[in-house]
Parts: sequence; C-alpha cells; structure tokens
Amino acid sequence: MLDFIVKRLLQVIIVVFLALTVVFFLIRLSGDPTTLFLPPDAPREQIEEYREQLGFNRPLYVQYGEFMINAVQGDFGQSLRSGEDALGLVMQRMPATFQLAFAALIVSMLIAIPLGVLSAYKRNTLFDRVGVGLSVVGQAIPNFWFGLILIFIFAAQLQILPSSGGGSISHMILPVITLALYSISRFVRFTRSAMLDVLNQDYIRTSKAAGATTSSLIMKYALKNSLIPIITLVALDLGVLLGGAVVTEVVFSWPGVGRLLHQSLLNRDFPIVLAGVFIIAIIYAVINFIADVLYAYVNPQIRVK
Amino acid sequence: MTDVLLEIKNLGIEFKTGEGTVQPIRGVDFFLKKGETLGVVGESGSGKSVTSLTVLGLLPEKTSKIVSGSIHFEDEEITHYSDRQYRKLRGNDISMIFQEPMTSLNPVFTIGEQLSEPLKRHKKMSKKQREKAIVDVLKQVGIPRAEQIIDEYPHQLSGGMRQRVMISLALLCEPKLLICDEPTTALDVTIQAQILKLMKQVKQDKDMSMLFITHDLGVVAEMCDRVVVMYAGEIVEVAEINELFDNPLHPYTKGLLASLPTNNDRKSKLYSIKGQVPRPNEIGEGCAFANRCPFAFDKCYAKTPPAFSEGDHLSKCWLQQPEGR
Repeated sequence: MLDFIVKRLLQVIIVVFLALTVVFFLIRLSGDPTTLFLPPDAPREQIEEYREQLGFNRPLYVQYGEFMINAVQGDFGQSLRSGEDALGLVMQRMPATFQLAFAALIVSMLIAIPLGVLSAYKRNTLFDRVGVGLSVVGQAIPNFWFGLILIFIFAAQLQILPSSGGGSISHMILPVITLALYSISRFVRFTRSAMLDVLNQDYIRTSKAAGATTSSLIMKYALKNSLIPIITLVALDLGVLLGGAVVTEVVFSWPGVGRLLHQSLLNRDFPIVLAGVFIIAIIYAVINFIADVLYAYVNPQIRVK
Repeated sequence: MTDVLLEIKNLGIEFKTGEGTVQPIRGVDFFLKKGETLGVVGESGSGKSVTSLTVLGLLPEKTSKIVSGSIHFEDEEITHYSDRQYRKLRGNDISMIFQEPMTSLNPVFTIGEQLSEPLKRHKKMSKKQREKAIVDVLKQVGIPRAEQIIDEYPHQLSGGMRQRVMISLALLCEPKLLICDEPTTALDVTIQAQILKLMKQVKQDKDMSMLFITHDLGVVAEMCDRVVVMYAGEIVEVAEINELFDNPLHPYTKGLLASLPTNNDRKSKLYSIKGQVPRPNEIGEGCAFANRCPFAFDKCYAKTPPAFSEGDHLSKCWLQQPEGR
C-alpha cells in the first residue's frame, strides 16, 4: 500500500510539473503583458523599462528557470495588476469554486445514479428510451448557452432567482443546474451501461437462483459491482467541475477561481494564471489519487495486490 | 404419483430473437423420482440448460415464453409461477449449481456474505446461527479453514474451491431437488473426480434428488440412475443407466457412445458424429437428427417420429417402429 501511495504521489508531481511547463510557454504565446498595462502611445523607452522591471526582457529559459525555482517554494509572484500575492488571490477564490463544484456533483449523483439504475432495469421500455434520449441532448447542450437560457427564464422573465453573484443558496441554484446538466447526462448513460453489463453476469443469476429478491439483486449485488467504473467517472468529472467551471462561473459572475482565471488571462496577468493552473492541476491529480484508493476499497481484487 | 418429485410434460419454450421467434425446446417430457439422479445429456445447443433454467423460472422474462406443457414440482403446478412464488422455491426447495465457478460468484462480496443470502430469505436465523450454518456446510463440502474463508473474496480461491462454495450455496437450505448444470465441465480432471465424489456423497447424506446436466457420458455413468438424451430441443431417448450403455436405441445415442475415447486402443482415430446440432430456426419437418444420421431413410425426413417405448426404455426413432419400416 505504501508503495502504491509513493508511486501515485510521484505521478502527482510529474503531472503538476508538466501542466505548469505547458501553460508557462503557451501563455507567453498570447503576447506581452506590458502592452496592456501601458497606454498604446507609450514611448519605446518606457516599454523597455517596464519590461526590464518585470523581467520580460530576459531569455525565455531564464524566466522559466526562475519561475520553477520560485514555484517549488510556493512563490508564484505578484499579480501584475494589483501587486497582491498570486497564490493568495487564487486561494481566496477556492471556497466559492469548491462550493459550486461539490453542490453540482452531489446533485448529479443523487439524480443520475438512481435514474441510470432504473433505466437499466427497465431497459428498452419507453422510460429507458426517453431517459437515454434526454441524456444525449443534455450532453450536447453547451453550458454557456444553457446558463444564458436559465438566466433568461428564471432571472429575466420570472424574476424568481438572481442572475449573478454569490453568497446565498438562491445564487447557487442556476449555476449548479447548469454545471450538473452535463454530469447528470454522462452519469445516467454510464450507470445504465455499467448496470446492464453487471446484470448479465453469471453471479447475478447465481444470486437469483439462491432466492434473492429483485430489489436486493439490483440495489445490493449489482450496484456495488457497477460502482467500480462509476467512481472513476465521478472523479474525472469532479476534476472537470473544479477546474473547468470557468464558463459557468463567467456566465453567472460566480466569484470563483474560474472567473479569476478568465479575467487574468484577458489581462495577461501571468502569475495569477500560473498559480491557478498549479492549484487546479494539484486538485485534479489528488482527486484521481483518491479515486484510485476508493476504487481499491470497492474492488477487493485490487485491494490485495 | 407420490414418488415423483418433478414432472415435465410436453414442455415447449419460445424465444424472441431479432429474426422472429424460435422454439429451442419442443415437447419435452420427463419425470424425476424422489432420491433419483437423472442425467440430461446432449451436445451444446440441445436445450439442456434451457430446460433446467425453466424449472427455476430463470429464463429472461421479456424474451422467452412457455408456450405449451406443464411443470409439476411435488404435485404443485409451477409452470406459470410469478417471480415472487418462484423465489420461495429458489435456493430453498430447488437449488442450482452452475457450470462456471469462476464467474458464478460475485467478485465484490465475501463468501460469507454470498452464502447468507438463501438463509436470510428462507430461514429465520440470527446472524450467529447463520454463520455457524455456513461454516458447517463449508466443512461438509471439504473446504479447509472454513472460518477464515467466509471473510475472503472469490478471487482468493481456486476453481475447485469456488465450485465447492457453489455447492455449499446450493445445499444451505437442504433442497429437495438439486439441479447441476455441467458442474464439473470447467474444472480439471482430478478436481472433477473430487467434486463428483463429493456430490454423490452429499446426495446420499441429504436424500436429495438430482437433475444432472452434462455432455460427458463418462460423468453420466458415474453419477446417474436414469438418463434423458436430448437433441436439438427434443428428447430422443430415455433409459435406465445400464440399459442405455448396453443397448442404446437411438442412432444419436449410439453416436455419442461411439465418440467416447477409450483407454484401450491408443491413437486410433476418434469417432465423431458428422455435422452440427441444427439451430432452432433450422428445424423443419421430420426427425431433427436425420441429416446427421447414418441410418436415415425417406420417412425420417418426412415425418417427426413419435416416442416408441420398450418397457421403461423410450426412444424417438422410426427404426424402433414395431412393424418395421
């Protein structure tokens, strides 16, 4: 077990390092931030001076090396715009993002797993066909569009929910629905196919021949087997929800990391972007690590190895 | 009637498939006496397993249907039992052992958890009593360290051990009828012999009846009192065990017996029945075996033979017609 944990932690480090490297170079392709901070007609000397002050005039590899050395010590520099500590700014926004992501994930699982199980049990009935059809539609709808439609209906027309901002439960409802739609659709289809697969296994027939009721067959003997692949999917989706809620956070002006990253990218505020990527990469890798541990918990065949 | 435990009359089953309906079982008739072991023999696709699954109501509900005939268990007609009614029988009065010990146990539950199921359903026992009952049965079927094994998972056991666990699952509620669907086919020969010996002994101890499905005539000779030979969804011959081996009447049975390898002649060519069992949708008029039968004549292709009987020995072949051809 210790061996396994050490190996996975090494992987986490590699993932985070690679993510930072890729983003470090990609972001510099977007252009020089100094042009955004100075007026367009600023004299050449002033631009050069500013570049030198921020260190952008040095060769790229020097900048990269310095960045990595500082990053290892947890120092991502200061925001180019406000001068505040970049990592601190990102951390401030984390709770709001966590709130949204976990709410969306819990809502998705509570709705999708029972629906998927029911769909598998009633396979090829009208219920199943409608369910699968809707989940394809749900996966196909882009969430910026869905978010805007929700705002239009519930905030603009009915005026029963706020369209933007954070702070209360009512603020969360629309963004959570928007985020959950995609996950629900994925989970329903995945749960359904995992269940169908398990329900055809010999051991289900064995339990049936031993006198198990339909409900214990499904809720006990089949569901635990189907949970093995579902856990992986849920973990992947939590990573997506935490890191990729950017669009939803922007649409609903949710004060989370996604929106901060979006703004910082537009401002070419490199330190904040890199600090954000650092945090998201760590979260993503850690969640996958947790998923592996959980996976071992429900799957005894892995546990022993 | 009292000494008959299971009686199947004129059973016909229909499957819905993508290309319409087929009848994998047609007019199957047999009975099983109390305390008897009845072998059901035939090649793959002859309908042995479908017949046995029907007895326990385990055929898929949506795609299969009993279209004719009846099944009686202990003088009770169970042909059209609901799932709820069947549940009282399953694992209680009738148990089943399946072919594949490697996949027939649930990989994410311990042996103990899986073995508690029939006890929970059918017996009112406390958790402690259940555990004791399970350990007892595991010991009966020759599993060492039974107390530890109940907390282990199926993948930690070998194939032979798993089949022993399957047998103990079937025995827990001391069923009146034990259906064994090729219980030793997936095991290697030495284990196979152990398991057969065990089953024979268990049957004697518990005074059960057994329906033993296999394609292996060697196993039949070892285990059974009487034999039903099935071919393409029909019964072609029924006989007492010695009678069947000494005096097989149906050409299919003769072919099966001739296909048995013997220890005596080394490296001689193995006999095999040419061709394959027809698929259910390929069966038309006449005897289903006619196209593979070395003795077939015109009548065989034209008309399905009825069952001719000679005492308890029954066979469905025109060659047995008393007035000849």
